[in-house]
Amino acid sequence: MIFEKTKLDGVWVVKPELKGDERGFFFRNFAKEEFAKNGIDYTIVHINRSFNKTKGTLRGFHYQEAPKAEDKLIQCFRGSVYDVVIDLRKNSQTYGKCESLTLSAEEKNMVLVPKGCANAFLTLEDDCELQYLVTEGYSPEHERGLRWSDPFLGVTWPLATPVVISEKDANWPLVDRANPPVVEL
Amino acid sequence: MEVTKTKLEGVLLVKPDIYADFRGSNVSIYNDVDYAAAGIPVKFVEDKISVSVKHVLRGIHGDPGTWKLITCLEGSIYLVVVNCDEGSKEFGKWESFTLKDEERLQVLVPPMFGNAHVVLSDHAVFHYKWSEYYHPEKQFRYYYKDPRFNIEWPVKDPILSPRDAQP
Repeated sequence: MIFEKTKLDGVWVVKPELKGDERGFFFRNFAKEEFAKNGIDYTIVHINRSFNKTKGTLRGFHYQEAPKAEDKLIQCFRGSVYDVVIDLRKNSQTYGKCESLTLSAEEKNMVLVPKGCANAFLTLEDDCELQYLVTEGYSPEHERGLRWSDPFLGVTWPLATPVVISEKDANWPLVDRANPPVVEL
Repeated sequence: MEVTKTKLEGVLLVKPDIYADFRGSNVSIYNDVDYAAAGIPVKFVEDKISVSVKHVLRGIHGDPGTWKLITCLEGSIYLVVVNCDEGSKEFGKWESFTLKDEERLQVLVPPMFGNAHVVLSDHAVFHYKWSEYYHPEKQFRYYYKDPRFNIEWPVKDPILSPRDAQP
């Protein structure tokens, strides 16, 4: 596995070390000890999958409040998505900043979204399937969201308006600038 | 160092010994005596470096006479080696390797094998030793998506030279 840092501390891009031949390919998708070698303690509690039929589907932004904050490793098995991570961690030097990247089935890359960061993605083609390796269980009362288009976040999406978005995601309240969301870990 | 065979006849994978401490690391990536003793008695005459940015793909290139020893000095690359000897029963057989700077795996590529690599990191430095001087007229080239090889590439739309983009 290849670990690459991003401009947000604790947000990593993890790429596979693919071994290919005429049969196809093989790679190790998750190895706890390789994460440990990079100083990341990662214990998977849930494995979730999402499938999105239509190009231009947007899911997010989502995160869980402490003490149910979660780390997520997100990977696209089919198709490709534009993924955005927002730093909401208290006292983080990059609070409010975002990192964006493309996850694709060809690249088999993953993004590590750590506790206290929110995540959203927009599908770049039809029939996109994603997997999340999560370190905390789902907790509806700790679930929070941000509106994808909130000017407070200043995210530039590759599409002006999503084609498909849930009622819930379209209507997350806009950030109160006097009292912006902060995750205290 | 540790030298292992691969699925391709004559293609070897070399794992050098890396000495690391708080300052960084130190590694020998070629020594004529040690490499000959480890089964690589090749006399190299030239060293080359190519620097590429993320998703640049170079190849598939080769020639009938040159042995090459490939190392990734910085960043990470996905390297493919393919048997390009059209008279061989093994023609088209290929294998891929991921080379990254922290590990410094090396791949020995014999004559008549083509090699190609695509850059996975933001930028990569690709180093190879050649056993012959470069003669453009002896070079062969195959398209990276040649349907006879059906190679798995971890990048959808790589950046190619006009020559390498020719099917």
